[in-house]
Amino acid sequence: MLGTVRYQINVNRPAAEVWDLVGAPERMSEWFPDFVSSTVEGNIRTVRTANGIPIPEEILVCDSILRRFQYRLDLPVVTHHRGTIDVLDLGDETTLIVYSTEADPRIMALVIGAATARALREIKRQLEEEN
Amino acid sequence: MGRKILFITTDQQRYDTLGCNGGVYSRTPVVDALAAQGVRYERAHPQSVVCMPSRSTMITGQYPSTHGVWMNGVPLPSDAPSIVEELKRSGYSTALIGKAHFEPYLDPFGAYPEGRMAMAGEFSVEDRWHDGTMGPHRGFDHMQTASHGAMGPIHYAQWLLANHPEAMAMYYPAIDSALEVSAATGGDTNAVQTHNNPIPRDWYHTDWVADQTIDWLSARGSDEDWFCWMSFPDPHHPWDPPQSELGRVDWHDIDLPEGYIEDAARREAVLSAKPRHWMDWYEGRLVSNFEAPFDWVPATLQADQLREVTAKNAVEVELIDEAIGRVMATIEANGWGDDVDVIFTTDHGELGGDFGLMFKGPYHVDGLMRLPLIWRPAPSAGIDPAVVSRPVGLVDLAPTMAGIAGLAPTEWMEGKALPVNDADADARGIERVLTEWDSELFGVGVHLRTICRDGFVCTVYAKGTSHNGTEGELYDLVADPLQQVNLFDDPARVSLRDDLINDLRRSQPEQTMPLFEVVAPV
Repeated sequence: MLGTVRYQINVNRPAAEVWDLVGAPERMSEWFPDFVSSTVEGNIRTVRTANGIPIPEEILVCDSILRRFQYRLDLPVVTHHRGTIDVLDLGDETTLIVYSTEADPRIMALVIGAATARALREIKRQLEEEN
Repeated sequence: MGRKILFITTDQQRYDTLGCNGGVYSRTPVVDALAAQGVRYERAHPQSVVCMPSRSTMITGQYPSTHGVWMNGVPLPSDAPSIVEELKRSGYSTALIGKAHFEPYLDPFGAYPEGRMAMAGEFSVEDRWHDGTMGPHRGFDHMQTASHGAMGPIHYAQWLLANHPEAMAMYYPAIDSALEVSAATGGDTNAVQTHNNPIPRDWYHTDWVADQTIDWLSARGSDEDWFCWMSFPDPHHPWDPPQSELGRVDWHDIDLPEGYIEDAARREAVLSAKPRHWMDWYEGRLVSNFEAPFDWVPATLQADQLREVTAKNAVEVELIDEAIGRVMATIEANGWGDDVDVIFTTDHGELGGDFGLMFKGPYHVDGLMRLPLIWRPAPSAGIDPAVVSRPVGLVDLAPTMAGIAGLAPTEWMEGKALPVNDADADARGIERVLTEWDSELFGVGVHLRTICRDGFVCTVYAKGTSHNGTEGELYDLVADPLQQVNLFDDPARVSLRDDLINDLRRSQPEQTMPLFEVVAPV
């Protein structure tokens, strides 16, 4: 059964600056607290969890005009996954980041979605507190 | 040297499964003896009828609205208040052995300390306490976790894998391939979440919890003050006790529970007089929560299946009683008997066939809310045995433990120390207990608030998927102990109902906002 979970956060920084961070696939472990490393080869990004588990991800979209990043993770327990990050310019030098997770089984949408919520908070913290 | 505390919890145990509470299928002489020597509570309610919020209430002494664990799958923040931190600060050695579940089991990213510790083979991790100081996670020097089988990031699973890997697959797999609570059937009657488990008793999690507890206690110095939370995963489903023990209770001999209405037409009439989600679940139209198998329809439950589930549940309760007996013998052998307070309870109940239902969910009736609770004060405290009929809650445990340790209740505790008899309860104005339910998951929302006072239990509903916010339930626990007659809309009870609702509104803490995120199903 498919489930969809979406989190969003406002960041008090320009969209271009946000995109510089989240649109660079190799930088994911900088802002995704559950991952300790991320490497990219071609359209495959491999992230590694704190438990040492490698998770390969296929990059489907990395569009710097739309500021949309979309990927599919590959785990035995997950039969379908789409992760989509949209970086939306609100026109006042602030940004809305929308992070959507679609997964089957639906439980994984919940679990992965919760991790994306932690990631959004970390992006906001880094960009607002460290700049 | 002060009083030591053995805090024993089980999981999903009904009030009527103990001999001292009128249970007839399980022999529970050890717990019955504790009840005879101490204080037995006849009307103890949880503040939530599911695990994570209820366990969070035990450790924080707060309602779910306050501690923020508003449904299963919401982790209790590491720096939440903790009675164990207070005990640790005052010099107690502290342990939790068995089921913790303040944090989610499904933690594939290793985001939470409980799972990380187990996977790393560690028993303690430094963390930030409620007051900002650093100390062991939630105040526990030693955490050694177990759950309902061999799945998940728990110490028991790691132990079983290392020592008896062939037993890993002997348990019923409680979660199916879609990660939902499994509806797979088994046992002799093809009952849901039921299985004849070939695991040797010595390897089963009940005895493992007792063994680890005995080991931890045996390492304590004779003058050491200690707090040990011994937390059995049973008799929570799946009902898969060791097959070698099934002869204790033959399911063929089980009478159907009093709350099970055999006549289907009458059963459905009773359900129809309750708010809509009761019948919706019974008939398989809506599974409003994760705690029941998604693919199981209660209306399909057969009488023999219920007999088998009841029998296996009774076996699990007996094994727990015997395990407690072994731990009590260790305490006596160490010469601590006079100075140990024992508190026995569970986190919530089990529907157990009442109204044709099993498992748990947003159903605030005795099957889920009336809990076994026994406090055997240290004999050296000189507290007389008693039976307390006044309503109390698990929210009262933390201030009770504080009192045992000679500590004043902290400002964040919302309960009152348990009364030692009814006169004590009356003198301190202990007359009501509250229970909450909130769940919002994949578009299905359910929100209940309940008060129990003066022999009535009254539940109101907020707007949700099945409710428009006007529904309610009112039961007379004396005239209708099985809660089969909903008086909420009875004109003769309007005044009483409104008084209870007003009391509930006044007594209920404000909900902490924004709500914490749901990060997993359980």
